[in-house]
Amino acid sequence: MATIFLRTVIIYLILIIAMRIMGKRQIGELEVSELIVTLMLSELATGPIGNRDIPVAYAVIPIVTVLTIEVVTSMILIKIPRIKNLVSAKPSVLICRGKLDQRELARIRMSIDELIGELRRQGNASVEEIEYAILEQNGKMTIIPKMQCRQPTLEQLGIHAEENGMAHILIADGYINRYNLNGTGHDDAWLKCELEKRGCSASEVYLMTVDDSGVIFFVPKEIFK
Amino acid sequence: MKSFLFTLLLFVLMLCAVITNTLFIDRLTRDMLILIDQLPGSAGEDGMPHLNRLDARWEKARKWVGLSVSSSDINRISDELISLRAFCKYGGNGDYITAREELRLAIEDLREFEIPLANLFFDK
Repeated sequence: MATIFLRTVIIYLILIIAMRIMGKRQIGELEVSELIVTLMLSELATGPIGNRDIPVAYAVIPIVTVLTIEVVTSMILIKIPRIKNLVSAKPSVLICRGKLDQRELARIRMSIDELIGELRRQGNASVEEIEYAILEQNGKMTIIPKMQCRQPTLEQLGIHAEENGMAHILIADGYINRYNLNGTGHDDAWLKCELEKRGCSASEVYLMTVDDSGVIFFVPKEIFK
Repeated sequence: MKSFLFTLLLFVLMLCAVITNTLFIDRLTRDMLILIDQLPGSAGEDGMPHLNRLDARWEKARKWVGLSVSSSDINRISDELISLRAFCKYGGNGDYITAREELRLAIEDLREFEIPLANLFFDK
């Protein structure tokens, strides 16, 4: 068992180094350490499931070890941000104040075609329109267009609009979400009253939401024959 | 913070389990190796009481060993014990001594208390 524990630590460290060298283009939406944990956990968990000869402890020990390393590492990274650069990549600024950073593109091994493709995917016609393009730690691209290319806001157009927040699900497929009901400052009596107004019970509701301004959206259940 | 403390608790519990298990197996293998050393040097009925004690020690620990040792390793020791008993009762001296050494090797393979560097990279 002690051998398995040490093997897990060694493999984790090797994977961190390997993924760090590969760079953030390999990792998609996850950060390096998160991706490693995901890959390791899935692989570790399948061993004893697929092979009855392997004791369950052979999966439990590595999984708890990986979990502990991940939690402790993230805790340390919060307390000492300077170490974060060693474990996870820094954001790469590819376009800065409208200027393409060719050196940074070369460093992260991204071609100009790929960059333009990403700009197009986010609805930008050309590089000229972009003020900043940043490849974030999770591999996603953040694009900030130049001021003259941005869509105008209601404030800029001088239109006043009431803030209505977001819709919270109160009933989904007949089931009451009490967490949202209480979170929006309502109770069962209020819900019952609202349902009576619409002439149905909770089990007959497909979707009922309320937004922060109190506007209710209601969809009754359809009866299929 | 709660999840951090919970993880640490889980880790400490796991470490305790690992250490306890390692010490348990180390003690079991040590006891069994002593019992093997006490076996007579030649086949015959004289060895049966020693073999019974060896069997009893193994059967008592077997289910706990199964928590951390693969079933093939456990079956190997059980099979070697059966062979040794058969050769002790009915076989010649050569077969008996070979079976005894095979059993000794199988038990020594259980030991992991000392962690040689090779164990970290290669399966035993």
